[in-house]
Amino acid sequence: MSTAATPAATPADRGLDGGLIIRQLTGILRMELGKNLLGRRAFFTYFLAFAPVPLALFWAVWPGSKEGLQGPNAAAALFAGVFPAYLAVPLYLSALLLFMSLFRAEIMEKSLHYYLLTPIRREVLVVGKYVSALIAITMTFLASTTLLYGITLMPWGLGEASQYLFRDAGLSNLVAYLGIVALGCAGYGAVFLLTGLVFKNPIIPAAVFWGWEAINIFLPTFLKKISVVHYLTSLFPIPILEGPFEIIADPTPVWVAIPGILIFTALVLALAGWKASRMEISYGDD
Amino acid sequence: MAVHDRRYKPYTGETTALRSRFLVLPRYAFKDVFKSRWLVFFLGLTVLPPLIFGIMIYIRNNLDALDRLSQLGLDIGSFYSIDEGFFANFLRWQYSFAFFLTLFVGPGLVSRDLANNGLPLYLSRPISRADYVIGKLVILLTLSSAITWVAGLLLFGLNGNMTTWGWMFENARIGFAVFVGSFLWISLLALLALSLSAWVRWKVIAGFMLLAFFLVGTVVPQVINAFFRTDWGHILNAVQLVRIVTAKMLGTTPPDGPPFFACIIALAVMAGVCLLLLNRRIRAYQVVS
Amino acid sequence: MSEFTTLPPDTPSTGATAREEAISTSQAPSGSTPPTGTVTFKNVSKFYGEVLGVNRVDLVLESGIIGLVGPNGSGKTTMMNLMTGLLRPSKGRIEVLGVPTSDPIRLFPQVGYCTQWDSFPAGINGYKFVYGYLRVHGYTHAQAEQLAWEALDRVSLRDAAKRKIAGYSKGMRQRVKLAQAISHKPKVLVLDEPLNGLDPMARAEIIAVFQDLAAEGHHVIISSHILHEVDMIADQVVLLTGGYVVAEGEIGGVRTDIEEQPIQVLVRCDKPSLLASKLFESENTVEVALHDDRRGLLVRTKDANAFYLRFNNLVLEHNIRIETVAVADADVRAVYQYLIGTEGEGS
Repeated sequence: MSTAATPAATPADRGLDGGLIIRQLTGILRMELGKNLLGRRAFFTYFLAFAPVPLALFWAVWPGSKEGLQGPNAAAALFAGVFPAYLAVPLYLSALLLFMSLFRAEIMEKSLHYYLLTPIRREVLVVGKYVSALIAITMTFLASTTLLYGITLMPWGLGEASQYLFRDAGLSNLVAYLGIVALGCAGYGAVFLLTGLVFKNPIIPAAVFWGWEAINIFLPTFLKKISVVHYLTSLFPIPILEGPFEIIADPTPVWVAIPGILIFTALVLALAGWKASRMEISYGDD
Repeated sequence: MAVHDRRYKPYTGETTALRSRFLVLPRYAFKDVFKSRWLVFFLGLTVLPPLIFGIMIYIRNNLDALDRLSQLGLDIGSFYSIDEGFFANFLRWQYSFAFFLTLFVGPGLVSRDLANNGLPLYLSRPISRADYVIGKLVILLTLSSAITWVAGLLLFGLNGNMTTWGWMFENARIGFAVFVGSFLWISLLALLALSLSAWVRWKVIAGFMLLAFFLVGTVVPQVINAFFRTDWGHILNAVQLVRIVTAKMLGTTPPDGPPFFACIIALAVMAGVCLLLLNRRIRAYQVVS
Repeated sequence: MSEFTTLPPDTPSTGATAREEAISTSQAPSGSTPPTGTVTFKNVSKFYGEVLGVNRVDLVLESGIIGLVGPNGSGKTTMMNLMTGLLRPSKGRIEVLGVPTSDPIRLFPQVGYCTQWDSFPAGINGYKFVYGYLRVHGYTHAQAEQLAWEALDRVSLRDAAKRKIAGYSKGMRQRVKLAQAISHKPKVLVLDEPLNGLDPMARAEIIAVFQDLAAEGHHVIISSHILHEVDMIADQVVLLTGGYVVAEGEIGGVRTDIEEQPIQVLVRCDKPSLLASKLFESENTVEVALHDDRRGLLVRTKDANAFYLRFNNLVLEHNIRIETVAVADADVRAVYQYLIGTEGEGS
């Protein structure tokens, strides 16, 4: 065993290189993925992501499910009609719990200091934690979306459903929904990671932000752009023209919406990194 | 040499009466609550709608002001009148504020005691489980009452004072609806907040559960209604249920949803479940896992 | 008076010892370069809003075991959090082995911190706890694995390493925290109340680890309010109260420097009554108390040098047979009582 005079060859001694950052990110992912995929908070993500599945299955086997719907196209329109609700509740709440917990839960558990005592830039820590949660939530919600989409087409049988999927717009629509889910996870994730860092009780700002997202369709154009839902709804493959989740909006073009949400995410993450770099440890009584 | 009796001498002075002992909890809780600058700021915000609605009542009942405004081309009389709809709008605002207030204050009420192993301490005093729950409820109900039915009845009284007392008697159902509807809403909020707070040790998570309850309760019924072409999905939506009950009592057109008595039963079931949860959790002992 | 404690013979001295030199106030003008093998506080203050954490601390800590001693709220944890970068000073500058605490990349390979928080990431076992953070340091799997096992061996936790930390006893949790703090072999080890809640066996084991680390040339900085333990372990102490450093150095040295407080000397001899009467003739003698067994006396004097001179003369003059001469209040408790005004019992 080496002594103080011959300390362990420290990776950071070799300076700040890309390889070191990658190894540190890998280290964070190892620690965090376990929590985000197998921990208590992961249970809520799975529950929220797959809670609509029994409801959808019940609908699919309900004798009246096909009533008034002209084939899989109409079912896909119905799916499109409730997809905003899927974004607004299961995805929103899962992202809130998972990303808010990245820092806030460790502050409440009084275990964040272990990270802060390693030779790592705080910005790298923010990115590592964010990526780990993003992987966990995106994987879960991509699976859940695919499952729900499949169940929506179930009442028409394999023949009609596969025809719609592979010869009609079914598959491209599914890919679009999956993309929206991934972008939603990225955007909401960044916002909630920041709120978890900034606020002792991130639930209040999360509720206010939800309200902001909900009234987005009534806001003037320039205010709409300061939201996640605006960009997401702009990417909907089937516009929702009526019903409770009707979108009255002038959609942003796809080539603006995707970079828009990514830039929004990057800006929020940069802010979170800055906030983390100034963070001091003073665990409160919460 | 004097030899003094050094045995333990219990306190023999005056103690708080048993009936009012639960008030000890809110007394200290209010101190804590008002330490938060955010909450004080928020409470300031909740005063704005009553103020604006009060000004509207004043203008509507002030002939000089109406004359002056009509000279400016503003015919207020055609914009609004002081009726059931006016108070329904007022309550819509204040119900939202009451929700945020509960979200702010409620989650920490029991969860903090749980996290700090405080329940056995409280309940080893001469204070019963019921006293504890009532004490905690009083905190939420007092704050929420101030911004809902108290403010609503003040507006109701203001209009009565500015018109005729006869107006108040003729529209007594408005006052009744403001009180009962508000009390129903804030009681449900308080019970939900307490029962969720009693099941989670961290107030942030308790707050999350409360938010999730309302988001799920608001959106999922709409999905159910869309898929199954029904209005009964709203039976799970506490917000909609209270809106229907309030609208029925006010005499305005209720939003879509189940009939009045089904709403009352659904709300009673929700409250009952909350009480059951509290009964399970508020104990003088805690199981350490 | 209760029975005196027989202290080991100790040669009182007013001069600075070599150990005392290891810790010294940095009275050097600001701007001078601190030695790189030190932990340096330069005019450091920390305020939590309007609450004072520590104020105007100037310290240079050399290697060895250094005890930070003070009652609750005296600023010990604040000092430790400051020197490990968990807190930023409101004013002043801190350097650890020449590295400012605001530079985590260069600081944390050299520093290990075992905090007072008895908390761990949820659901983790001892090995993963140590190994996981080594990976975050940037070590490869093989390096991290080797270092983790070395650290766990050092605190005798190899057998329990694969068990969940939640199932550990208090002593095991303290040891696994220590293993995590030393796993990357830091030169400076900061330990906040490391002996809190441990049984005597566990204390002895952990103290042995500290002593080994100090012998290897580490800085081992320990905070505690259990004074006799610090007295036993630490080469040097820094006494804190109300956010201020009130004394620093070797316990005996600190005691000698407290000039305004009379020093207490215990003497056991064959003619205590005679010695007492003669010592009373000196104007520097404040108090002399005879022991119940008539074989010892406790002398309080304002001038230690004058006392020893007179004492030697009296012994020779009256042929007094001396068994023991010891300074009775040079332990940390007495120093603590004089400087901080409390008994220094675990607060």
